[in-house]
Amino acid sequence: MLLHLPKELISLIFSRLDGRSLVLCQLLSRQCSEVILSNLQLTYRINLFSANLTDNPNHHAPLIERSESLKSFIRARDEGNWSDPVILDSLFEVAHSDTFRSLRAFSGVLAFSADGHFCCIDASEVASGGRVRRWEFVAKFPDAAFIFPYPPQNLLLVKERQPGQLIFRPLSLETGQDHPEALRRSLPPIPCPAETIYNDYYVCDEYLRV
Amino acid sequence: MAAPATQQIKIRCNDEKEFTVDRDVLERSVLIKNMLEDVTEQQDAPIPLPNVSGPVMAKVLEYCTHHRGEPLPSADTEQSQDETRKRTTDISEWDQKFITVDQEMLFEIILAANYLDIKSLLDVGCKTVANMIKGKTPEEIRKLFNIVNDFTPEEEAQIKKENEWAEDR
Repeated sequence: MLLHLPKELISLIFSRLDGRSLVLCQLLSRQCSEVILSNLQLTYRINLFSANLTDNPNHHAPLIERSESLKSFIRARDEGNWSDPVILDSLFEVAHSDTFRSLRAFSGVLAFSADGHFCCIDASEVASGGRVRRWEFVAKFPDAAFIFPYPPQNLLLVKERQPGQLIFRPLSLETGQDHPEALRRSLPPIPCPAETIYNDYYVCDEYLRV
Repeated sequence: MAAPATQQIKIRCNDEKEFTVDRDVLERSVLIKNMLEDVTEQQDAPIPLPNVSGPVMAKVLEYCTHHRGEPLPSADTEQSQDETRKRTTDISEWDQKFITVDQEMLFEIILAANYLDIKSLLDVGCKTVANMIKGKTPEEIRKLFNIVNDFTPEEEAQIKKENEWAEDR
């Protein structure tokens, strides 16, 4: 009976679903799959879910733009394409708080400490209380400058701030030591003037695959 | 004869069933509201509603009567679709009770709300169906809505492969 409804109404019902449910609805039948694939909003939601990202509610980029950025992010992630970093800056927005300048990112929250250190927290982790773990981690490694948010279970870390630039250096969350994979490669320092640092968000997912 | 407090409007459903309803109740339907605005002279002939049956209309009128007087959602309250999505589960207690009907009636109400252009009712209907889907496995959803899996085993395996992480999250 559900599928006897006109396509627009099925679409409307699906638009009330979260990414996970949508993924499962794709599996129901061809018709369901077609309804979802022909609707940009629904596919975007699925892609967000599969990339383990959440939307930045404060950003007003049109859906088509968000969707394209997300696709290039996923492509780079799947290819492990560190040498051709994808910049997601258009989806970031700066917010302010007392001790941290926090940056709402496409994927969660980037928090800046007063001394310029910052870390990125995956939004889903924040929701599940994982934040504490992240902050403890930051406290434990105070010079860690950047925690890469994806995927949460393989959290990865970078650090070492030089005047006018950042050097990304992946650390293993487990040991706090250099990530084994990172030792095999050398990452070029990435020039990052302090004020614009959050505009360049590099995807280094290859290192996340332990 | 004293003038009635509210104008009474007659409608006729596709099964010849007729209702006489207060105008402000009927105007929950943007379709009917626009129709009434187009008609300047008092008409005695009932408004034909060829896409709605009597039993469904009775249900819709129950909804409209309960919500009469509430402000109609304007076009711009629609704004961010993500906003609406976040509110998926909140259906008011009365609406919840109202929409507890069998599946056939539920889908009839959705169709009628869409045709009559009653946004809030369409919303309640869609949310209700979405809530029925949430938390279920594909097999359970198929059974619930009588959906036939028409994928070939290869296609199904392919989609599952693309989404294997979804099952255990």
